[in-house]
Amino acid sequence: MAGEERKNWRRRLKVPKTALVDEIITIKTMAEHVMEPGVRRDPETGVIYPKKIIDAVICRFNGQQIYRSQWFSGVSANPFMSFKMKAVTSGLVEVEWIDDYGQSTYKKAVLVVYDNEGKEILPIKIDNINSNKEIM
Amino acid sequence: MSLNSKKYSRRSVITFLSGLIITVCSKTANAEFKAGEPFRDRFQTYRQTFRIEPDPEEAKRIVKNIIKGRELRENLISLNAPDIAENGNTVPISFSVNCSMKNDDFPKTVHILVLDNPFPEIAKFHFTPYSGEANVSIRIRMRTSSNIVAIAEMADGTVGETQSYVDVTIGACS
Repeated sequence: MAGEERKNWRRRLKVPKTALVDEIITIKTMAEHVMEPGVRRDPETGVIYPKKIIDAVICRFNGQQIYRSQWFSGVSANPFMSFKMKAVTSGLVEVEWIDDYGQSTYKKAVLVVYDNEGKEILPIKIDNINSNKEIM
Repeated sequence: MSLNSKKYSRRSVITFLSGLIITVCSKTANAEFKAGEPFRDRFQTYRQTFRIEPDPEEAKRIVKNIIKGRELRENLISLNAPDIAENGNTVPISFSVNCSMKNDDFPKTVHILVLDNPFPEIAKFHFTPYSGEANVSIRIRMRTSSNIVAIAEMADGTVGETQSYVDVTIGACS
C-alpha cells in the first residue's frame, strides 16, 4: 500500500488480561479507516471518490469463530465496536478486519482465566496426554 | 466425406453451447440476489453507489424481506440511541437482546437499519452461544433525522423489533 494510506491500517484491540470463570468480558475494537461510502464527490472536479469500506469483522477464540459482523457503508469513519465474550478457558483472542477489496488485517491478545481457587484453566488437559501426537 | 454427411455441423454445436451457458449463468445469478435483498453482490453495489436519493419504499421492502410475515415478540431487543445527535457522521448506538444464550435461545443475526438513509442497511451481527451476552455498541452515519430499526432473528425462528427516533442537526453524506 502507498504511504498515504498508512493511516488506514492501524488497528486497536482492548481485551482484559485476566478474568474469572464464567465472567462476561467486553472486547473493544477500533480501526482507523476512512470508510468511503462511494457517494461523496470532489468539490473542485466533481469526481466520485471510489467506495472503500471494511466489510467484515471476525472474532476468534483459540481458532474458533465466536462472533462475526458484516458492515455496509452506513458505519462511521474510524469505526469503533465493542462486544461481549464469555470467559471459559484461557487462550488467544483474534480479531480480523476484512476490507472491501479482500485485504485483511488482524490483531491478537492473550486472555488468562483463573479458577475460584486461583488456578489457571488451560485450554487442554495436560494430565491425559501421553504422546506428542495428541498435542498436535 | 462430404459436408452433408456430418452428424453435427459447427454452427449447431456453437449455438447449443452458447444457449446452455446463458441459461446456466442467468439461473445462478437470479437465485442468489433478488430485488430488495439486503445482501448485494459486488456489481450491484457498484451500480447502486450512484443512487444518492433515499428510497423509503426500498427500506420497507428490506424490512419486510427480513421479517417474512413472522409474528413479532415483545421486549426481546432493546436499543439505546441518543434523542438528539449534533453530528450525523458519528451517532453512537448500542443494543442488547434479552436471552439466556444457551441452546437455541440466542440471536443468530441482528440487523440495524436507518430508514431514511440512501443505503438503509448498516450492519448485521452474527452471534454464537460462546459470546456470553448479545450486547454490541457501534457508531453509525445518518443523513437526516429518522427512525433506527433493530431486528433480532433468534435461532429458533422467532423475531423481535424495536424502533427509536433520532434528531440529527448536521447530516452525513452516506
